[in-house]
Amino acid sequence: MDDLKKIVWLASYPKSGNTWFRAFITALLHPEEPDVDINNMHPSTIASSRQLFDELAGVPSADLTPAEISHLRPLVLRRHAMESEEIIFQKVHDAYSILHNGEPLFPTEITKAVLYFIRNPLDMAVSFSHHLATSIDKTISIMNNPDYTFCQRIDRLNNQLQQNLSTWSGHVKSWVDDSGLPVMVIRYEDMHNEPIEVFSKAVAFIGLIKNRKEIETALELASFSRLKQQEQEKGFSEKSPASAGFFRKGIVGDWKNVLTKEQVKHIIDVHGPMMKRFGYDIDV
Amino acid sequence: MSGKTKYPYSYRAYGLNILSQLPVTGFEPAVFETPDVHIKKGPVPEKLNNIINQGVLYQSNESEFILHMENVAAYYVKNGDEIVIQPIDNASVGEISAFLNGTSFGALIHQRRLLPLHASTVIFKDKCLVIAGISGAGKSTLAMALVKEGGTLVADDISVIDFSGEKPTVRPAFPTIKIWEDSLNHLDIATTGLEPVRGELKKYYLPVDKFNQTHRAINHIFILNTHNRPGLEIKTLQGVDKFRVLKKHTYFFRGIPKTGLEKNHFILANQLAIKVPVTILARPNREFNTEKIVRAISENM
Repeated sequence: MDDLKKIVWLASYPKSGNTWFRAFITALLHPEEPDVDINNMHPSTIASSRQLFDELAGVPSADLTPAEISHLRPLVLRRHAMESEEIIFQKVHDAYSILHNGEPLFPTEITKAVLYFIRNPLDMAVSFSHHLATSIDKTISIMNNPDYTFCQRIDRLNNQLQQNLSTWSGHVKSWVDDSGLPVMVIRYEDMHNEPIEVFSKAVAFIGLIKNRKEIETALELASFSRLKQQEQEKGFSEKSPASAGFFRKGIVGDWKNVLTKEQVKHIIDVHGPMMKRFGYDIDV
Repeated sequence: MSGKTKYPYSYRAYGLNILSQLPVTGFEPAVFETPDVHIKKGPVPEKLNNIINQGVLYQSNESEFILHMENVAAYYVKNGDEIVIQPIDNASVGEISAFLNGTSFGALIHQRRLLPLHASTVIFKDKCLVIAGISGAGKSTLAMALVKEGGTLVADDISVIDFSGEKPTVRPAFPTIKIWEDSLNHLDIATTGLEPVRGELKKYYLPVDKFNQTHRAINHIFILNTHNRPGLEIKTLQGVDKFRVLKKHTYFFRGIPKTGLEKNHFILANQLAIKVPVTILARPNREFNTEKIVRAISENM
């Protein structure tokens, strides 16, 4: 494969359906496997993986400054694409951004497509607060903070590289409007309501040729209940240590049972325009 | 060696006599007659002519390795006995040393057809324990914790396995640990007066008084892992699993050109797997309970 356009970014703010889609893709690409092993899914690493960086850069990121790491990340991802014989489905939670040297963090020349997963931020806030094991109010302030960054401490070695998430709206805008990359936006709610249609469209968008039967089988293997059951039986390496479980409820509209009026207002005040744009009700 | 070349520094590290034109942070000064490795200051080529392997910052073949660290220095490692360094203006000795005693020596050790594990090694309760793990697993923190509990350091981060005797040993590296501030706090060690590895990072060179200079047969290899469950988990490996993890925890395995060096690595890693017990020790990823980990090591070594 000479063309460098090998990476399909599975991009999202956390807790928006990314892992569900990865489980689906794993089942779809490996029909020979009787089950999806959630601890060994096909797109196995996240774009901010320290090990991926260290291997492809050739020096330990533990000895590099945050600025050096940022500068090198696009080059590392480029090498990742160069060395791959096949399409890479690369999970990513960073916001799309342009670095100080003017280069995009996620280079255009290695990008085949972007699947952008979006979820009603009212539900996402509930799920994310469980993931972070923090309060809803703290989670909402994180969603409103343009500087919010995963793995930011500089007095210890974090398990992943730093990832700036921007605000929830800023994250959506960065990938969907600013990147200039071919993007398909996939709503978490539609993945639930019309799974066959939505997953089929996504598969077609990234250029895979699969029939309805294959997609149905993969969806069955990657169903929420099966993923959750497997986590309960074997654990899931991507679960945050502080949270009780990665696969929690996986339902639409749970915010109505959890959020206070003030919390709903706070989210809609800040993210209303972006919510409206993607069909989320803001007159609640 | 040119008669004009002067070498003001001499060290012993990884069992090698090293003559150097540049000071190296962390290495131990030594007196010897015959050098094994020369470190010189000089121009480093942009590219190798016959690249077999490469990453973003390096290129290599069986006898040459080049690393370009944009803000620090360029390094040219050749034939397992020479490293040429071209420092960038204003780079500190500490930061030039970080990519010298790490990646560059890792490449040199592969060129010498030795086996470097990504591991720290400590003599603890009279046993030689190799603690391997990926970056961030806690190798250096555990090594220092074992030193505080009465152990002596043999190597930090890179443990070079020596097969010249009856049993595999670890070559004494140098009496310094590179360690993060968070770990130093955890171990009740002050950062005052410590030299930073990089100006911007809260990571320091920690000199270690208790350093073992003799070759000791390896008693046990522990692979330090993390998981997201509560409590420590311990599993002793058998057969091909041992080889697999030793390959995974070989320092800079990806830098080995896929030719003779890789075959050589296979033979050495296999030999080590046959002769030494290997145990996985997995800890919760947000908890480093020194007491429990040291106890688990004591009970399983």
